Amino acid sequence: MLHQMIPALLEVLSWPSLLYLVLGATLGLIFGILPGLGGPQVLALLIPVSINMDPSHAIVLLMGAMGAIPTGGSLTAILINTPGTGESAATTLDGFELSRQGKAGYAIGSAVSSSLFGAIFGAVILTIILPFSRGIVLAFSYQEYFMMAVMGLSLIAVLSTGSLWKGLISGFLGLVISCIGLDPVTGVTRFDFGISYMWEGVKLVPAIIGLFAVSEAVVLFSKKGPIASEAVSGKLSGVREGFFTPFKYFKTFLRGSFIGTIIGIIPGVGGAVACWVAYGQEATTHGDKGKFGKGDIRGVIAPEAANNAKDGGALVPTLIFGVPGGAQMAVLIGALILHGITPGPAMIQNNSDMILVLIYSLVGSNIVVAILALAAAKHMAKLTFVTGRIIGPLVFVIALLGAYVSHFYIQDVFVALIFGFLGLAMKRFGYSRVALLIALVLGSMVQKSLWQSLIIDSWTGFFTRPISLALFVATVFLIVVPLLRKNKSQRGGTGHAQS
Amino acid sequence: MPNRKAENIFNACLIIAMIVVLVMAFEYNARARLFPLIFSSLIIFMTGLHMMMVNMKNPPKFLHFVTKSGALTNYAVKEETSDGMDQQEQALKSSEEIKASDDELTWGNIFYIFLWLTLFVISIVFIHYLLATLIFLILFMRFVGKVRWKTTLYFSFILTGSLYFLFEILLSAQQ
Repeated sequence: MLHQMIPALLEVLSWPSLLYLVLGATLGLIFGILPGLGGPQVLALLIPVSINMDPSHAIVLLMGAMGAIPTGGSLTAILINTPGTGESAATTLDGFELSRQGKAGYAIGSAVSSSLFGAIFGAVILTIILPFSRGIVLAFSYQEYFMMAVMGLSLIAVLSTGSLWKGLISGFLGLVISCIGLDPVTGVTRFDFGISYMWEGVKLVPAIIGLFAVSEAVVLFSKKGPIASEAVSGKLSGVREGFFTPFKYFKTFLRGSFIGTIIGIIPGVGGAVACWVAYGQEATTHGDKGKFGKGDIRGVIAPEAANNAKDGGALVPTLIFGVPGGAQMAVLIGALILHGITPGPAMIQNNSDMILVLIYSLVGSNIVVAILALAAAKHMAKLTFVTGRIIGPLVFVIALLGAYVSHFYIQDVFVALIFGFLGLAMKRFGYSRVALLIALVLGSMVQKSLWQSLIIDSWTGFFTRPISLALFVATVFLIVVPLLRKNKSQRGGTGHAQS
Repeated sequence: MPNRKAENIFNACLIIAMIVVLVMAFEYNARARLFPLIFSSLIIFMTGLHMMMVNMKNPPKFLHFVTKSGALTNYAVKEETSDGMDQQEQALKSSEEIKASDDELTWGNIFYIFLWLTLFVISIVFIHYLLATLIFLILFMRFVGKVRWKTTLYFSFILTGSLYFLFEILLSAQQ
């Protein structure tokens, strides 16, 4: 494979590949910005366009679009608290808060560079581990999936910034909502009220749109002033300063990228989980967790690095086993097959040059989208200076149509509306929407992996398998360390008071 | 509506919904009902206890953890900022400011906005979604948002045009 590295790079940089890369990245950026539209939609759109293309050109176009999606989603997450994709949901917590403080440029600069370098990190790791990746994927069984989900759920306790009691109620509510639809193991339809639409359960995209975009747009609309609550000048500043933040907080960036890559490798987990795990991990690592959710730049760097690094990781099972890590990868497999390339062991042997083209295109796409986003950031940040009376209705329409056009199910829009109302009520009464979302994402995985684990093994399997045990220890660590830190700081506070 | 009363109504609705889930769960087999059974029961118990604690004049001290900040949160970080205010105070102040701006939004207004949104969604079913978008934006921005006619028309047509280009031209969307 080494001797093919330079020719593959030249292939991506040659004409017209470069044009396809820019076109794909631009389209990916637009789709990423629009809530409800994401990787599967843009790839599905481009498949018919790419049919008559040379396979390498088609790959460049498709990967160009796919790689740009997470960055596009982050821009709206920061500017109008509307994550363009589920993968950017965690960025809203601190990114939008920074926009409110008039630091939208700083947050965008940071998000763009974290995304870019996160993607490069993921691609480098992918290149390094490709020869050994078979073992990694096979090491994950149901027990590991279950422990992974439990680790994700433990973040509810860690991320609940207000009342832990209410945070837990929100998390349990998310788990109950995730039970709607077909039971992943027994196939029984639960809580469908005789409506066939409910068989698929509550879809994540309309739920996210409702919880964050619709509910926040209602609040925005009620505000008389602009989104940025602080006095800000008309020109965007801090983009350059923000761009260098991943280097300033290099450990944060590395942790986020590493988590994203590892989660990406595990099929079926996805970017939505990666960004939350990275965010939660970052929040617990620092003693000054109180800053998170209130405009801490590390709350932007970690999830952004993770959600772009996960693309590199997600290509591992996709390319080596032909096992798609998610909907986006499933569509990509379809596109590759259409061009006569079947992902799996055969691809490694027969089309290893295409794998390298694919990796380089992913990196190239992130470079292009970073340039585009930075160039457009100044204009996009002006959104935060527009009054809520104008931006509110526009967000309503974009969010609700975003929920509608992904499948043209009107029920999706009603789900977004219901979750919008629920999200607004939860926000007003201090219930954690983030906890509900994490539980909703992981609920199905918890149930499925628990029963499947128990079918093939007993309870002891969770603690006798090394990776499962390591994940369990990591979960305990995730909960216990903040407790110890809190006790320590309280004792310190008491000591100071006594002295 | 006072916030306490509204929260009580929300909590009561949550409990009722979970009772429905609990009752329905018994219709399913043991595996399918385990998760909804456990978690709906927990929600009923925890929400009920929270309601009780919030509404009692002298709640028992040993149950104070129910209404306090979480065991894993509320770090006692005391770093003095330039204006002499510690981070927690600052965070509290900023959250209070946000809450104050949110509080301008009454429940009456919220229901009114959601009524408009519901009408918009229903109109998508009966007329083309782009036409529904244009009509909704014009009516909502002008009559609910009290935005000037010129601005309303400018933003309504720009957004609808952009959506037309994206969904109809680029995506050839079919309803």
